[in-house]
Amino acid sequence: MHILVCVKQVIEIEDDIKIASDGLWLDEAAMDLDHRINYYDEFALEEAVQIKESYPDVTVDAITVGPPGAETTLRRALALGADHAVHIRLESSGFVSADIPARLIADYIRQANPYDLILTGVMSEDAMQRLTGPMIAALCHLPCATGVLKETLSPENNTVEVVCELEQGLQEPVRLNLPALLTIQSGINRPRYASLSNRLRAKSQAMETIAPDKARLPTSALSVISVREPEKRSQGEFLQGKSEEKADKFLHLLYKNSLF
Amino acid sequence: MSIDVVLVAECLQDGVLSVSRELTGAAARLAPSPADTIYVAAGSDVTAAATELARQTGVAVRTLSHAAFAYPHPELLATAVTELAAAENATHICYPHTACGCQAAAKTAVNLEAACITAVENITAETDTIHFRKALCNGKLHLKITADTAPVVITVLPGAFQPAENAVNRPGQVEPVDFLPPVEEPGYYPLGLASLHDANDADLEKADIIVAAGRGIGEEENLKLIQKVAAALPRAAVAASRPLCDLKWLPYSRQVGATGKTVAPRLYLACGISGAQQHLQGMQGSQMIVAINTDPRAAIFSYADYCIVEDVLTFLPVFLEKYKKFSKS
Repeated sequence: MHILVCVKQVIEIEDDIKIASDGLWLDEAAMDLDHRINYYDEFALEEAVQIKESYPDVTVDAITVGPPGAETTLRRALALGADHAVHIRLESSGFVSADIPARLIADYIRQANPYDLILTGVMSEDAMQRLTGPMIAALCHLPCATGVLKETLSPENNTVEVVCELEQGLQEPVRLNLPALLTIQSGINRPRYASLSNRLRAKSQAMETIAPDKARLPTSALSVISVREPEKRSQGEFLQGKSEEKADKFLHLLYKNSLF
Repeated sequence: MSIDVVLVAECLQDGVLSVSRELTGAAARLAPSPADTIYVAAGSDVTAAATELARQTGVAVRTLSHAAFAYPHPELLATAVTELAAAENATHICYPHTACGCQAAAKTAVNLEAACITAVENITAETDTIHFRKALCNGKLHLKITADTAPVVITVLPGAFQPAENAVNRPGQVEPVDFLPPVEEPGYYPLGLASLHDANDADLEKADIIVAAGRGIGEEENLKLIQKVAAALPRAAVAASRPLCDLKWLPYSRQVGATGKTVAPRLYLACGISGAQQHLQGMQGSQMIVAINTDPRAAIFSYADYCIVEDVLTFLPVFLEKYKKFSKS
């Protein structure tokens, strides 16, 4: 069985937000940005590795679309148990419309060995679009389940049964024919830590790099107007003073609102 | 008559969920008249719910009644909406930002080769163009974006728009659509519905005070402090944000947010919670929100009535000490 896990390198912003002078994206060079593997993709990767550990002859490929620096995310995927890594190079900074990575990955899937199962996180933490997974599935004409909290493979029937998370604690069990694409919700498993020896091994492991033809890159129909820090929307009062004084003020609040 | 905007109602067991009505608020920014807007509602038999939706909103509803829609079926829904939107040459297709809505939106956009924007929080009409706003990086950034081509598929964040008034003062027309699922095997078979919550953990809904813990508490050990505070305060219960439940520190029945519980206590005390969008959706109706976080820019502070920039682990013991003294006297 062949599994593909789509991972993304995300940025984590601390409180030093600086907007570029054109107002279209962050001034990344001037900020102390953290780059790491998307939280939800770690659960997708762990799920793939657990499948590999439970069935014979399973290989797990990890794929990402991103600038050269995204290589570290693929190295992490290798250290966590992926067998091969594929890096589709895309020089991009700023907001990327989900259909661009989706089209690049779908092209790869159509050209590579057919995959039985494609997994990815339910969304990325930074762009929060919830689109890339189901778009890949639609482009490849594969059945798709999103927000998966549990999956049970049945290789003999060529199906997978999943539980999808809806809103308000509701869940929907679904059966899909393989090959299928699942977007994985956090909490489905407990992602393992990468051991030092695995991290070292992953450091020198070969990976496949694809530089898509610039003239044939998919284009986005979306244009960014601006990126801003949100305006303060609440009239919320910041309690002032030392810890002790803030505690007194909070206490007074409870008293005033008869919450004793 | 041409239809500009297609609103896809969120249906569950032949009922129409209330987020569906909020879509009219988004549509009002997209189409000059409600006459240019239709709803699509899908279920095994949605006639009754569709009639009610048409009465409330004044918007026409096309119903897709078919056994295949007995349970949420985003794949089939997308196929049906694609056909309808293409036939009407619609400029905007709006789904609620839900699990089913997002998945169907992605597929609809691929089918129509349309631009797609999810979790839209605001829509502004500028000259010749429409700007959509969404949050990035957990609400730390606002992105304004526009589509260069039509049609556009969007998902509308629950709670972001008020339902528009029924401007026409009469019910919209309800019209069934003949829908035949494609002969091609979809490979996707919904098997039913289940609820995570049982009747036993209703205490979150009943609590006057909710003390909620987030990733900012650091270690599982520190939950004890949160529990101590909840034990000291009257009619208080402990809740958590999603990452804590993912770590299995607390069961998912204690999770507040879009995918967990929606609560509205008299006091919501957010401890070390950054304020992810999906969490905010579950608690922003609280009467009073007090947030404690070390990061003064945490998104939760934009929703809090009172903001305390402190480390939960050092602040709560100070508070608890004072609280105990005060309640004795």
